[in-house]
Amino acid sequence: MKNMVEAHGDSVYHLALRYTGNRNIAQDITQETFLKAFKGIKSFDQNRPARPWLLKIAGNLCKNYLRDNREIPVEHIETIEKPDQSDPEQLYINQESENELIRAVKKLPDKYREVIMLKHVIDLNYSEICEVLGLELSLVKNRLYRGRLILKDTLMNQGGIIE
Amino acid sequence: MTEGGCLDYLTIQSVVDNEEVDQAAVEHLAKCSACKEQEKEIRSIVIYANQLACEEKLPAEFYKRLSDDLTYKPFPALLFALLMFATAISSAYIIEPGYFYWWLTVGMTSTIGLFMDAFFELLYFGFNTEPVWIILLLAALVLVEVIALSGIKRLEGVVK
Repeated sequence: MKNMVEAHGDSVYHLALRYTGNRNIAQDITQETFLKAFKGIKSFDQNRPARPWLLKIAGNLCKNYLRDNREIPVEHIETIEKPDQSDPEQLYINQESENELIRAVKKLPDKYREVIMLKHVIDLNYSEICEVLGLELSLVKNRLYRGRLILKDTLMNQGGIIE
Repeated sequence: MTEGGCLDYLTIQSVVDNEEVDQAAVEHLAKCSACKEQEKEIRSIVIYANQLACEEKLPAEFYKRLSDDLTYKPFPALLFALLMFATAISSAYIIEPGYFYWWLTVGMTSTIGLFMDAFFELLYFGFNTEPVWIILLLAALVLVEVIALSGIKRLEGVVK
């Protein structure tokens, strides 16, 4: 159990943190994910990798959370620590551009957002995303492409920093 | 590949995402300016979206909190209710055995009678009331329940 938390806890936490924008809620969702996983471990095929399974549980919990708390203003999203943030000016610019990005991601339809989150927050490859979401490879590629296009359009409409 | 020999956007995206693609596609991308332009466009949004990645670690006490939650076994509610009932009955018997016997005979009968009266009153009410009033009453009860549940949900929060 401890190994599983050590190996995948941070990934699950990152996903929850990006979905909710709140550390306490993200920790609660991470805890709930592992509790559900341990309760259902007998039905899980031990020969398969645990990460997609855990991320699937976490993703569902995050979506439930967002469904019940439709509007979380970006101003209420906590700043997430990044490495190398010693220059205050750069820190401010980074934070602004990150907030723009979060606003744009929040506007994405669910089916695109989940793919974008798994790709850019957890850095999963296509086959891992397929496994988490139970989708065909071609569908994942298409959704990722469409999602990125919508993201780009939204950022441009918001006057974002993207070039 | 498209009809003109250029790569389709999904293949270019696969290259940008470091996924497995044909060597021929990689070679084409290296020398085709139109495809390179598309690659640049996809790469710019990928770089921007990569800001979503975070380095934050779970707090050190997380594992302890999780294992505490896993080992916590709440006292079964039914057993607790039965224990309370047994305590009430035994104390009633010890304090006043006469009253206890009275309750087991007359008291219990009158309690059951009270419930039966209430049941028949409700039936009588149903027979003698216009359906519209019954529907309105039920709708009011549902409304009260919805308000109460949303209040509880707000108090408890969504997670846990």
